[in-house]
Amino acid sequence: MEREDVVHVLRRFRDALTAGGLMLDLQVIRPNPVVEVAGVDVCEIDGSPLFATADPAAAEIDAMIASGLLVEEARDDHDVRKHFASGAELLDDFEDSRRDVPPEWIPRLLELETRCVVRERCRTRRLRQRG
Amino acid sequence: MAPVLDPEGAHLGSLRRLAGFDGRSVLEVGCGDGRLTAGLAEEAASILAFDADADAVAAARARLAAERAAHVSFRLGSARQIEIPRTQFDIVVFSWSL
Repeated sequence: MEREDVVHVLRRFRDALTAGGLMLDLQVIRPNPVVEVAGVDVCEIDGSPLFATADPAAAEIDAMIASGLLVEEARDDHDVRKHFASGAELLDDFEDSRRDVPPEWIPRLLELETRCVVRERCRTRRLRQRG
Repeated sequence: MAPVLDPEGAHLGSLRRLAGFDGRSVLEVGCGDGRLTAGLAEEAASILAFDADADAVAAARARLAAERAAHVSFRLGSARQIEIPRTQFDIVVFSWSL
């Protein structure tokens, strides 16, 4: 979402809240996502394309907090996992996503015929409408 | 086997740690295939969930248990353009949708 769209959308949905209502915003955060095999980290994924949209969205929320329109009451950081039957399935899925596997890992993942997981760090923010 | 996102329910768990949904009116922005909608519908009084992807909205409708469908409405549309009522919702949920 473009930055001006984020501002527009945030204001629209803030207005949809009852007085003192809550916004819960879930975003991907750093560090970079990681590929796990059998519970062991095997490679890191370049998350910068994701952060390129998540960071401006977080900045716009910060601006709304600074201007007194929202109050941040709490944060919850957690890991989210996406499960794949094989490395090839993972690579196929990534064709359409805003994540990049390091090129040197592509041959190894193509050979991986066991289950694997992509683990991403996420943050949920609890924001209360104000004003 | 298709890829499976968050079978552990980490996203839903995070939302539940931060807010009580019991009896609440919820607006879900970018509901996708309804992965979170179904969980939120266990507690919320009503949910309006929407997404710009028609296939995703169809999947979200299909995965919702029949007994919970009465208090969940799905719409097709983008966050920028969809018509929404003002001052109607207790909680707005954005899941990777900003």
